[in-house]
Amino acid sequence: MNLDSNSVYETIENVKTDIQTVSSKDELEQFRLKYLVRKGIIQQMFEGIKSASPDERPQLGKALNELRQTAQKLFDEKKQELEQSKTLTRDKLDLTIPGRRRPVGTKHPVTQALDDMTNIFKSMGFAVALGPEIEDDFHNFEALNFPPDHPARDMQDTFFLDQTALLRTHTSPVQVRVMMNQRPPIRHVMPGRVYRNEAISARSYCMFHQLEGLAVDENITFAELKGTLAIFAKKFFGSSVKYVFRPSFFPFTEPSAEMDISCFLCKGKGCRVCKHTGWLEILGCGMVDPNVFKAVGYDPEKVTGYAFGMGIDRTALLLYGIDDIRMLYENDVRLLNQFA
Amino acid sequence: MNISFNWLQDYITIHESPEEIAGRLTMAGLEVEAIRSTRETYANFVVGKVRDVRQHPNADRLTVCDVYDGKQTHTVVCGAPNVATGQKIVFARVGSVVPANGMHVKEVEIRGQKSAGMICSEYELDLGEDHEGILVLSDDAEPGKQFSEYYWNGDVVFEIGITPNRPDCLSHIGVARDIAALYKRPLRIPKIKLSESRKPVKSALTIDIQDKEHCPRYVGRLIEGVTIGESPDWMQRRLKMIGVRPINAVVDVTNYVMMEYGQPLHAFDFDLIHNGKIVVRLANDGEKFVTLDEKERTLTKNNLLICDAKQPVALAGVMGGMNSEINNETTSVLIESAYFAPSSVRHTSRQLGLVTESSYRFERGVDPSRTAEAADRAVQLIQQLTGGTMYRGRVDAYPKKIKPINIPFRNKQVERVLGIAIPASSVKSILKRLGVEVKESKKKGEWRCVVPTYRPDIEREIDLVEEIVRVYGFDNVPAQETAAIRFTADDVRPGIHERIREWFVGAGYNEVVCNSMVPGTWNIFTGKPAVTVNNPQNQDMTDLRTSLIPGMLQVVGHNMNRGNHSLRLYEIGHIFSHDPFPGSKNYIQNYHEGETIAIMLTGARNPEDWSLKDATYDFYDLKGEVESLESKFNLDKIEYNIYNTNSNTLIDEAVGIEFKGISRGYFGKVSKEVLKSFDIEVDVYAAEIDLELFSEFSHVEKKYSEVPKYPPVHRDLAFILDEKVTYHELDQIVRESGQPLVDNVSFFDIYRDDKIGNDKKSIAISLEMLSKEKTLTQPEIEETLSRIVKAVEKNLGGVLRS
Repeated sequence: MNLDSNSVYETIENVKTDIQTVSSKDELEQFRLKYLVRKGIIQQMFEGIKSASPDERPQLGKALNELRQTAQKLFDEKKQELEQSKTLTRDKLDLTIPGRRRPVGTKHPVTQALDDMTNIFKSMGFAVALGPEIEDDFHNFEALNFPPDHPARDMQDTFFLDQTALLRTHTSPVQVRVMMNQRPPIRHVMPGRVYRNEAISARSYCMFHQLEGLAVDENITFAELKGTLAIFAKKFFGSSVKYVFRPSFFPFTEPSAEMDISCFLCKGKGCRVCKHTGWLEILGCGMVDPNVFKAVGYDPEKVTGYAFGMGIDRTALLLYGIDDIRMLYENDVRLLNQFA
Repeated sequence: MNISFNWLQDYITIHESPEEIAGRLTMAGLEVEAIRSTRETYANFVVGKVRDVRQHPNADRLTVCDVYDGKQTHTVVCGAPNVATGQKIVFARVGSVVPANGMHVKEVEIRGQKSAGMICSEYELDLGEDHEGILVLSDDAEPGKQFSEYYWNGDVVFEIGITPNRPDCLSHIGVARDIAALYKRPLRIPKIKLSESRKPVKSALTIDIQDKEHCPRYVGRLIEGVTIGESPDWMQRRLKMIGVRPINAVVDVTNYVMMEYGQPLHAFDFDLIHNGKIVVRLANDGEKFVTLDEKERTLTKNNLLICDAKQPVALAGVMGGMNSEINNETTSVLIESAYFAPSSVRHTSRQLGLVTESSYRFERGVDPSRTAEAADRAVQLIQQLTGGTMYRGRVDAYPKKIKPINIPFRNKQVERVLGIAIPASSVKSILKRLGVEVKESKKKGEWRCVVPTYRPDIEREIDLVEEIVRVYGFDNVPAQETAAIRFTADDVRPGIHERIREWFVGAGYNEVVCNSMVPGTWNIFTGKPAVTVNNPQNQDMTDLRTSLIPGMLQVVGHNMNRGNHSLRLYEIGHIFSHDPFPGSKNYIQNYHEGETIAIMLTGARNPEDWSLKDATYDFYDLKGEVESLESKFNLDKIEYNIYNTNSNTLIDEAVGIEFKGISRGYFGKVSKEVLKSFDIEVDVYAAEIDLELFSEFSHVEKKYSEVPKYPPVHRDLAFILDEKVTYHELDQIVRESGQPLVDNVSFFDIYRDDKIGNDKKSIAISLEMLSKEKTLTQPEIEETLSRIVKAVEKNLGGVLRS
């Protein structure tokens, strides 16, 4: 082999070009076999030194050493690069796979409806009061103008614990407790759980939840009650909701009314849910009966008041489109997770 | 209350459609819950004529009939023995729905013979029990005429939900009276003309009211020479229309007059009344009486009885007796029309669990002024229907006259209560239409209102206001969307429930809501004396829960059965006991009630994190949840102790939560026994904490303490300790001895092996040290560390692990 400095430099250029084309382990191996092994080009060039003139030998040796170092360095660099890219491929970010999620918490649908309603009334100046679920005849019935042996008691099938203790059948006893604990003005809402001894079916359960409201002051009128509940209905069911007040009967209010709203599912056209009437009964209300004021020691000539009460569970069912009330208390997480 | 639209028109002229009247009644407080139209019920049922009857070729008991329905002739297979050529019958066309059973009539083939329609029996038409033979109509029935028109005259029934305050509307006249008031129309009450004999009733009948409180009025009338038979079609149809089963003419009349006037009547076979004497008295304790339903009733001294000279003959206002019932041999009839005190009838009805149309009306209050009129109407109809001779006059025992009440009324109250002024003339007009007599009073701005006796619900001024707005219309009261609110400083603390729920939602829990009524077996686990329900709905709801955990375990079981294995649940709810417990309140004597929070974890710790797929919940997860919850609410004085599970067996290896020396809850792994009873086969971790701990002791006040300016230094230490030394003790010693530099101590490892010894453990902790004044130097750090090591050695016998 005819060795001169030119051929050494040429080879350096070749090495540099070759290494650039290397993109895999196999190609790198080809590179190594071509330049760096005992039978490779560079070693053979070293062999060629012997046949060079003695004056050229040191210079050629130096150049060849440079060549070998360069080739080795390029090889090492490429090797490292390839290894790195190999690791990178393994850990490569796949933007398409799902992230690691944490569980999403939920409030029970009944709690959600109850909280939403309560918050609307809070924004209208109502405070929140709570009371016990075990009540006595006085708070649950008598003070609310249900005389003993009165047919009005049949309106609420009661679970009794003894002669006088019972599971409250409505949240109205909290009204009595609030009025006995403080003087007017009163503007409270009272959420809570109530119990009725009714046969369990898709439509009714032996316990449910109510939201009670009470306002007592001078100059409280039925017109204000209507306005308050109208605003509530619009905030809760949507601003296009229509409403109607029908006379009804509750022993603790006089006059008493039921509030119906236009069915929010069919927009009042009539559907299965509203039994084709276009209307849904959502709450009972009225002006606090003077007998209730007397029972709690208020003067009905000085103050007037209004009260209202609504069942939460059935409204929640309508609102969320659940067709069996029992599903609310089975607590299947596949249902609960829909209420995130 | 079922009201027939046609029947109503006996008393008032109606031009409006049933739907319109129903709407108006509903808006006046008589809620029409349903409208049943005979035209809908009997759609496609027509009068038919049987033109030919032939033997069915393949069935002995069947015939093949040709039925003409006014338009065409249909071939129908019929199984009735009484079908005959020439009969007028009720024909159900193909496409009709049988009222009795909802069956759809279709074209079918019966044993090779096509049949297109059906000839109906009484039973199928929902008119009676007879389903052996077909209903045969009278000869003048015109084929093709709709059955609803032929039989019912196209009548419509309103199902009205009468509220307990409106007994006056439990009759057709009553509802007609309200319609008359609403539409300003005259009411027509039937004129009663009696043809009486010369025999005075007083010669045959005496009435002795011994208890005028319970029975203020009792009217008796006699009619003799009657023959007991069926009542005529027109009466039967009216009764059937509103769901009353016809029995015989006399009984039907009493029911008819009750549905007409609202006055319950009773008819006795007068020949079975000893000595022609009626005595009204209270029963003796233990007295026995057999009512019409053939049941022997044991009475108490609170039950009012109608007796003859010898024995009881009726349970006043509730039900008559077997011994004096109208029967086929009856010839003379005593009609009872009375006013019994509502509470008395209600008491007896409830005590005996016997609710009748009669007791239902008496306990709400019948009109004491129409007692006699109703008796007259009854004998008039009986005479008209069955013949017979009326005794002259009636016995009217009325020892305690009930007068219309007189209410002072201030018209300004209307505005005060409703928020709208209604002119005095309108108010007067409304009251007058309702039968209230309005008189001027000496007091200015006040009237005196005389209320008719049929309205026992109107007793006070406010009741008159109610009546006025009921007729005036709630719609005409404006919705006032402003209010003058007086601000109060109550309820300044934001709701603890909401704040706790916020935490749970943020921490990825599902809230559950469980029944508070539970089976008694669930309460055995907690060992607390449980409150029981006197009248439970079933055996699974006999007790009130003493813990939330069993209910939540049921939820876990339910979910597991449906393939939901990883659960992270919480509930906030009331628990109850006869004994006080931490956080309980004693609103009602002998009952204690409190609110608790329960947490339940089971299954995969985070099923939606694929890097942690196989990690399942363990005790430390639960403990961490409890600790995080408590730190969120700044409960820094909490101590965790070993919880005694002797009385409460829900949890194995439980940790108690103690605050200021009071146990406020516990947590741990639910015991295998308990899990077994809920058919749960995997580990479940549960905690239950008194809510009062959060509502009363959580630090609401927020106060800033300076954030350190100088960087902290971290050092780790591991100690070999006796098993019995708690982490809490180590933590305390380290914190105390590391003062003032140790700012925080955290756990990072626990380790046990043979090398360190059998009853030993190695606990590694990480210390964070800092100074508020300067950067710490190496000697200061070393000095503190060696102090800590010595203190641990001295107080806990711990050895530094090198």
